[in-house]
Amino acid sequence: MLEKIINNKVKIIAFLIFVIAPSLLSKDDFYAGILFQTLLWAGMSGTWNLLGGYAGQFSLGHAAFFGIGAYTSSLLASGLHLTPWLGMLAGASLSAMVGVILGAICFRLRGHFFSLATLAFGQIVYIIALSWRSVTNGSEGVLIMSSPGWSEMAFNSKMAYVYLALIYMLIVVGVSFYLDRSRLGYFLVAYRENDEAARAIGVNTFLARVIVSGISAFLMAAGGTLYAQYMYYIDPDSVLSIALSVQAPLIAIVGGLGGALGPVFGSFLILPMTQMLRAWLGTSFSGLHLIIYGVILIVVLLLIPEGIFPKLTEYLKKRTEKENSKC
Amino acid sequence: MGVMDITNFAHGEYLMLSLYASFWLFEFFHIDPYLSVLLVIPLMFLLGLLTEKFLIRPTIGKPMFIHIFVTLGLSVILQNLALLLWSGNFRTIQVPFATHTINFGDISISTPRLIIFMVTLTVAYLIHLFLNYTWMGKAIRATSQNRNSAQLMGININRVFMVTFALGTACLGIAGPLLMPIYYVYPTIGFQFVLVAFVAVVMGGLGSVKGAVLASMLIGIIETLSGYFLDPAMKQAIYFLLFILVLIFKPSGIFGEEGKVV
Amino acid sequence: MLSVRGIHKAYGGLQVLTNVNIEAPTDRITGLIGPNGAGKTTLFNVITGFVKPDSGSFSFNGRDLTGVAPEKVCVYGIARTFQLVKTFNNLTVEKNVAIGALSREKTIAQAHSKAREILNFLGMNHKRAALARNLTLSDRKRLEVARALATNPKMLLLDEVMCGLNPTEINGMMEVIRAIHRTGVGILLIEHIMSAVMSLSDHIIVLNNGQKLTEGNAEKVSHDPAVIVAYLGEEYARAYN
Repeated sequence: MLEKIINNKVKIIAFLIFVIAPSLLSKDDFYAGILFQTLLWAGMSGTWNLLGGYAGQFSLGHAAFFGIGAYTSSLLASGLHLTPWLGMLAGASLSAMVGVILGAICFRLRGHFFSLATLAFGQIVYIIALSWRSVTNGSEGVLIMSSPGWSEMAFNSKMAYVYLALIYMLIVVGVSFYLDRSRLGYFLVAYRENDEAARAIGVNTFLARVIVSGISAFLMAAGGTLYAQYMYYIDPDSVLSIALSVQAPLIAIVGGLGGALGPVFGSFLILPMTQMLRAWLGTSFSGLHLIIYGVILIVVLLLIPEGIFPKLTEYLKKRTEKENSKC
Repeated sequence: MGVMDITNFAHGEYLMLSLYASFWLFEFFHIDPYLSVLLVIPLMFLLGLLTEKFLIRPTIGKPMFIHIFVTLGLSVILQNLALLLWSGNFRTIQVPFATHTINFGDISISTPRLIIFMVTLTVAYLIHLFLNYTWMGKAIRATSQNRNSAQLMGININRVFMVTFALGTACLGIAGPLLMPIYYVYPTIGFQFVLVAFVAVVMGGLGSVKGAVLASMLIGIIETLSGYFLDPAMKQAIYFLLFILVLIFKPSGIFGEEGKVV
Repeated sequence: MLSVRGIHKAYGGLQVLTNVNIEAPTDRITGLIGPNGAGKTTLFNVITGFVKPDSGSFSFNGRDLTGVAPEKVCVYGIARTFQLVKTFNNLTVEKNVAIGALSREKTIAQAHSKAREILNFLGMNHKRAALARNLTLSDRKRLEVARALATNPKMLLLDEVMCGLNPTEINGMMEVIRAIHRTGVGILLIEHIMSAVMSLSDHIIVLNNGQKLTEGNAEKVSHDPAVIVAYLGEEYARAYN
């Protein structure tokens, strides 16, 4: 038993070092940018995974939470000169409230109808951001003007953002690990496996899902603020598009659903590759990186539906067992 | 969606392909869009057959998220393939009858739109006949009610799924060329249509052709009316909201039969 | 004491339960039998809160539980298994049971130790690390019993836990049920395997077409002409007499 625990911890730490090491080495802005995106997406898809992977509720509207976070902090900063740190908290809280309400309404729906309802919800938020010009500036978007410094969450060096994204990702991973060994997490997987059976043994599956929907929305919005501060500019298409709602689950599925490290793995597998492809191919082949996304997604779904990370750890475990038995 | 218990998120992209097909047929061979229907329908039917066989079939009986994300992945691929091959430009064709109107007293109606309306009703009626009076149609309805029992009755459900799916895409083969004279085509156009289609189908009651037609008309009315009072973009938000409300409070659809629950 | 009074339930025009009154004390093993479609499982669903009755009420140890949600019913001491097994297939055996134990235990560690205790009691300790989906049907049914038991019930509702098992496995399951009952848990069981019901039950209730036909001990019920008619038809009953 003890051996097993150590083994797992070592594996996880090794994995995290593999994640962190490149960030310490790279000083180049281009690679720092890619690293920022990768870490941010690892966090975001991990956030989606709290609801999609643990509870099996496949939201296709998570861009809404991301956008609520990005817009709230940006508008508070540009209108009221509120520091983005507080703006982040405000946006995340607002988003959590929306997440709880949306969950309470939509969790009665089963399967793909939940996905469709959340997709429609994401579009509603997108349309509101586009049409409510007096507040959101419509399609012109919001420009974030701030002088660099910690209090403004604005930095000259991209590496600062990389560290922020790293912290963000680690928080999401931490929450996932917490779910792995907490009542809430147990209740969520019980719902995912069988709602009736879970209720029959006293699990309030509805409440558990509403709570995690709030948590997921909270963390997603925090990612939105981070993104807005990094880009200095947001508009409905960059923070509320359906592509965002699709990409979060895509990464989690390719990496592996329902575990803490699957989405991180998925992000490190997909994002650097597609980001570099995008940069190299440039505008002449716009869209090619997304085609590759789609192909990877379909291949993984049809051939390794449990995701690459779980498959890999299973393989490694089997190999070490084999070696052990040889000795 | 009602029959196979599958939501094809790439449905809109098939409409996009159908629009492009009629566009290119016109550009290169100067085939009138109303004529190209005859070519596009079999093309789309074939595409539907292939998609079902290689992408949808392997997801049947597996966890629900697999088919959702396979079709989403397909949608992403098709959109960007179109972008790569045909660029993001809005394309349209110039035909003399695009702006033709017919006058009924004071009211003038755009002829291409009237044609679309008539054809849609005809196709809906044909589908209704097909489902109720042919062997295959009955097999499709049986399968949608209970997959296992249908199979026990000797229905080849794989073939039913294939035909159902291909019929769905073939209908888009009609829609594309009819829309082309009055619309334009660009790679992400499908998405606009597909969400509305989902809204119509769910509101109308799954698996009900009559319901879908009635719901579509309702959506049209909502869109036009709210267009007067609200920002044009907001009208979309209205029927998405309606969509969520219908899903939750009347899952059998506004016009659907009782007891058939989502 | 579980008591059900005057339960009516209809689906559309189909009357599934008509004025059903039953009592199942916790110091007995009560058998619930009847032909297919008699309404046995619907009655279970009513008692566990999954189906709301049209009229009538039921209570457990004097507390009215009519219309209470399933997850609350469990808190008041009623647990059940399902006719078609509903184990958490992608989780380990131990985690399946631990989730049940969480309804009473505060921490995950406590729940797991309770789970191991129960698995030990049911002789499944060696399988606790296996995924539920890799178990045999017999073991999955046993796992459902273990999971229900982990909620510390005072009354256990078993829906055809022996259906589909071979004779050895049936004997094993009967042992398990008796052992559970000895710890002071009341049992109400639906079963089609007559030899098992007859030998296990202290008291048997017969449902037919949604109505209570008769009740009594095994001896009385098995010789009741009405029961024989319900199961085998009029003709056969005449010949039997």
